[in-house]
Amino acid sequence: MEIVCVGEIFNGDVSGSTYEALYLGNKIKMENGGKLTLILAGKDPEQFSKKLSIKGLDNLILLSDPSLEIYDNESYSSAISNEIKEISPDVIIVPYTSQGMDLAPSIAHLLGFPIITYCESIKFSGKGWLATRVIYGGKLREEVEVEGNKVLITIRPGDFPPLREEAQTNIIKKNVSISRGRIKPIEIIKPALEDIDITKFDVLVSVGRGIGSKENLEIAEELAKMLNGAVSCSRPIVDMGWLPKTRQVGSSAKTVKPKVYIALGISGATNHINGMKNSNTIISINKDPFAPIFEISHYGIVADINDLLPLLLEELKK
Amino acid sequence: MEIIVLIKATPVLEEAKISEDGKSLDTSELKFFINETDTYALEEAILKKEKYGGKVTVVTIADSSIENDVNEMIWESYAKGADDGIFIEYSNVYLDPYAKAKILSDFLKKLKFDLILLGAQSTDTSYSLLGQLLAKSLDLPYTTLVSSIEPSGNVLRVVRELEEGLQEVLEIPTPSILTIQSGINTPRYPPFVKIRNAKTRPIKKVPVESIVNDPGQYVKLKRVRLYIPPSKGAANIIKGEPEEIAPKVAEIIKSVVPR
Amino acid sequence: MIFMDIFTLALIIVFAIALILFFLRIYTLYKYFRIGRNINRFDHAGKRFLFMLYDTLSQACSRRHKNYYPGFTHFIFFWGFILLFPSIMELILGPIIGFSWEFLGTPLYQALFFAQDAIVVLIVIALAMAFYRRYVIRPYYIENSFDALLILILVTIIVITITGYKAFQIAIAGTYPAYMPLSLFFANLVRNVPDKTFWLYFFYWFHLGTILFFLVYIPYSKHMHLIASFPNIFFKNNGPRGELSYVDLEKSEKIGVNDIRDLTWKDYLDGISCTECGRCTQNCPAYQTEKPLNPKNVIHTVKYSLFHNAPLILEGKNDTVPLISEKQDHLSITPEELWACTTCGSCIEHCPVYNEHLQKIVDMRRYLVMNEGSMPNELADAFKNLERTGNPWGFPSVKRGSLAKSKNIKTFKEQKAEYLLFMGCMGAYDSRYRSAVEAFIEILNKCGISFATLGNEETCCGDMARRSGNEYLFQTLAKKNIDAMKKYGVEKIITMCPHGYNTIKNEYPQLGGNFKVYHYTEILQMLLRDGKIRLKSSGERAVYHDPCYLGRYNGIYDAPREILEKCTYLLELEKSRTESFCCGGGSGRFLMEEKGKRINEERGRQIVEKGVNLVAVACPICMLMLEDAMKSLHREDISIKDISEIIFKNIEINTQKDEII
Repeated sequence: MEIVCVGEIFNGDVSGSTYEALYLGNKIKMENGGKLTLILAGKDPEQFSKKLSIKGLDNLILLSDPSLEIYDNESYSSAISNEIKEISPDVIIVPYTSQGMDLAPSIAHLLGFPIITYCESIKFSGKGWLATRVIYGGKLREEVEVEGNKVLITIRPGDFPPLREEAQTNIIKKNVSISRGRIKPIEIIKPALEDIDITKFDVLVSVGRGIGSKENLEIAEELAKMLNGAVSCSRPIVDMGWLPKTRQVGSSAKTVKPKVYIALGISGATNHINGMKNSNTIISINKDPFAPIFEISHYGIVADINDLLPLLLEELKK
Repeated sequence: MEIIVLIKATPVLEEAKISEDGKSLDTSELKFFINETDTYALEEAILKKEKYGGKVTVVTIADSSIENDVNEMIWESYAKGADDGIFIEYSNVYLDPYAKAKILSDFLKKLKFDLILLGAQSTDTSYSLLGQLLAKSLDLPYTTLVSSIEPSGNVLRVVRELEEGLQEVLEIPTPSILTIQSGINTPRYPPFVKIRNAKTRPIKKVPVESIVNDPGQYVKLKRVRLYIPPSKGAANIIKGEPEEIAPKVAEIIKSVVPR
Repeated sequence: MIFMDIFTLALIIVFAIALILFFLRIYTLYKYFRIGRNINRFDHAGKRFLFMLYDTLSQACSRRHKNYYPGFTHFIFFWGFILLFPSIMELILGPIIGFSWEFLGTPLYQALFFAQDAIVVLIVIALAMAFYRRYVIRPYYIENSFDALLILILVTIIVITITGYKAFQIAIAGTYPAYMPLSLFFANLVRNVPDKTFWLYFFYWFHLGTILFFLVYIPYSKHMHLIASFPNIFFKNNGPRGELSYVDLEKSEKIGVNDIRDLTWKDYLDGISCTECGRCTQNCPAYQTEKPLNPKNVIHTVKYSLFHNAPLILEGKNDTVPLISEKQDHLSITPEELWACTTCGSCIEHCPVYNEHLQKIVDMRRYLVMNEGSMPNELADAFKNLERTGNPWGFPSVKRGSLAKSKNIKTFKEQKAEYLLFMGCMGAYDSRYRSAVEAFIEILNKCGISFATLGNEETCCGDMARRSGNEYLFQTLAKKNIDAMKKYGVEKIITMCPHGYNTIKNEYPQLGGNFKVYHYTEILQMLLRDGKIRLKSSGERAVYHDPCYLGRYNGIYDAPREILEKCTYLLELEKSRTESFCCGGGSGRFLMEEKGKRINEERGRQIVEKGVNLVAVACPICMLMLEDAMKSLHREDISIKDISEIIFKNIEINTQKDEII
């Protein structure tokens, strides 16, 4: 069985979800036999060749062209699908990041593969591929089947562990020449540098919509400071403009794995949960006893942030 | 600018009930609303219309059994500022994004438009696929997760929201398809009087069979099973008076936070 | 005598001109009043008339809220006018038709003149007090307008000239009427003055001129109050204070108010009855915490808007100024002002002429929400949640009955009961308020009261939606509850939250929901009186914070106190009962960000000053707001407890043993 993973360069490095895609690719390879290939496209992907020499990965194909400096789905999909055509794979795995969401349907279209997005697991049923998908905000699962032996699946960042063990991998470098499509990428804007990197902290105090007031945000800051941690948040806090986007945890924002993750007033949308569920210890405080975040928490505290937070701070000061 | 907004009816799912066939959701007691990111797409379309002129048409494709909710969605869109509403109805068939993309492309290719907007993801099936598949069918450029749209000369200057606070700026010509990320704007609250007055305006109902025969044949992603995942539950649930539990929680934090 | 003829002629001409000018203005105002919507306030006319007489003649307006200083001056001016009126009649009608009060008989006639002398002395004292208050004390809620100064000057002139006139009259007649001591005193001073007749006419004309000027001036100034207050009290709202007007959502093209024509003539009457005393301002929690809202300005804007727009409308012009606008001028109200109101009802409570500020504020909110879709973001979120889940936070509606279910309380669907326990959103979902609900349920169970809930069929009572202008959402929610209540034949309802109490009791009848509604404190009072529960006193020093919707809205002040006095050492806050200061959470304000000085903290400071450690509340929103306040003030040692929690802690359930006794 030929398995192809499509890697991704994000913010100057190979994205974490690339390794997660490799994990799933390797798993399928172990179950079914065959070869695992990773395709990475970019302006200068050779710099990652050592990093991506990974146990279980048979071929690493590095596609380079100056026009691939900034991503757009037309250039990338044409470069990548041209390469995949030559391999004629059975399964293509693409991480469903902001790039993957944009790119995967184009690749699938160019190759004539059916695409199943947001897969949690996949297996070959004999007559087709059977995938499990997380739907209705995690409240339901569906099993989806496609006929035939070809499929492109996308996986949610954070659903699989990474595959990172170094080994020899056959590296193929190719210069491709891309003709620019209708979309013209202009630039990548990075967030203002003065803000902190929440992925570097052992303790995160994370706030959600249930935090209520900006004052409580200050108490959260104080709590984080006391624990040598930082304050992170879920999407609504960013949408309200209370914290910068750099503090947002979630599969569409930052994936974090601190030793301790304290969720204050976060109900637990799947996107958010995927960004933090691998934290060592998760402590959640929410006044809604039915908040989904309790499902993945190690400690769930049903209480009003307004009441508990100041008391907690006092206790910790003792 | 002539803008088409695709809106999806998604239910508020509090308690999931699976139908007897084990494949579908029992929707008999569910109320459907405009999918959340689609409300941002609709708002963006209306804001663009208000600024640059043009027309906003909402199109939805839904099961005829939820007709009342769909009508209300379209009335709500009228109340917010949409000009036309089209309800493509189907019944007794399961449609995946492929089938919907086929139906919509056959339908929309007859219409004149500069832009198709839709939400980046639905809260129910979360495929994040329809816009991309439709773009391929109509051979239009597309991009996803859009957090800003500004006309710049004869193209659109669009910002995409990436991870970790990064943003990508790109230029895309029209006509094209953009999927919209939440937070691009603040959707307005439609006032009652406008909704009430909208109820006298026509909704164009289009039976799916008038667009394609046997729409089920275009389904590629067959749902074979739908189930409620077993709840893992938190290991420790702590409840009580804040005064009582504060010391406990403090102890827990102290015990797990690295020194 | 020819001189007298000229005099009479002049008098008649001057008097006629004054009357014509006066009635022209009144007629203009009448035409203005016709541009508004109609409202029926002619029911129970006899009762209304008697109340108007009582309220004005006894000057109940200033006694109701212990405003003794301005109350005294107002009392004197009011009665001064009434007592001087006969003499004015005589001064005018005497020369024209020979009218005199002498027909009353000597004793009454003399008594009248004595009273006039006495009241002049009192008016002088009151004038001094009024000048002192306005120009030395200078209360912040009083604006020193030219109108206000002018009236004090006019009154001064009137008392000086009437006294001067009478003094010269006595001096010329050469009499010594002991029943007119003041006039006599001045008469004795001027007996030797030459040209006494000149001075008599001088004072006569000066006095009469001032009076007639005053007559004409009244309807053109804020002193229209002098006339308009009477009908305004006559036409006052006699319905429950907590009942907002019903809107036929299908028939009204426009809902709410943003144009002067959308208001009723009674609203205009409110405007011209206002005398700018500032008591609404003085008692408004929003104004007291430096919010943009000043309830007096709401009333004023109506008046200015009427005077500005009515002539344009009558001339058929279209350039009218809307009532709601971002522009901060005297012709319109800003949305920020409207959203700052907590609907605590203190302005209505304190208005001496029974003006209805709140209905106007809510009407304007209705316009913004129902026609424009314009409201603070937090409210839009709350509305969406209410539409989808029946509670403002978006908790699952299928979990609404969870708390009751966990306490093994049956639903009406399962079992009929005497009482419906209406949980309310806070009661059903709030983690802190939960213990109050549980305590009350325990008490009911122990007393063997038959009650059940609507389970998940209950939805928000709609109070928050209605008061924040979303009439459609209110009616939808209310109808849903009424349908469920009727379906199970509910007759008696106990509510935990005073907001639900008010709405179900006073507003559900508009939608066909007629139930006997009790606040839970009334039930506790009943159980106590019936001897079903006994309380031991903890002797703890406590205060009770009156919820607006229980106290001011529904007059329940005593039930909570009666219960609390049994188990605590109950003190009164400086501002309590009708004077109670709002917690800041009403009409959905508890969900909204409050900028600047906070209302709940202001109330918190009032509580802290009292030096107690226990605050009893009877409303979940008060509990939420005051607990927050204590935290912000770093006074967590002061605990905020619901009455049911306090009772449950101190209860001695009456067992069979007592029944034998």
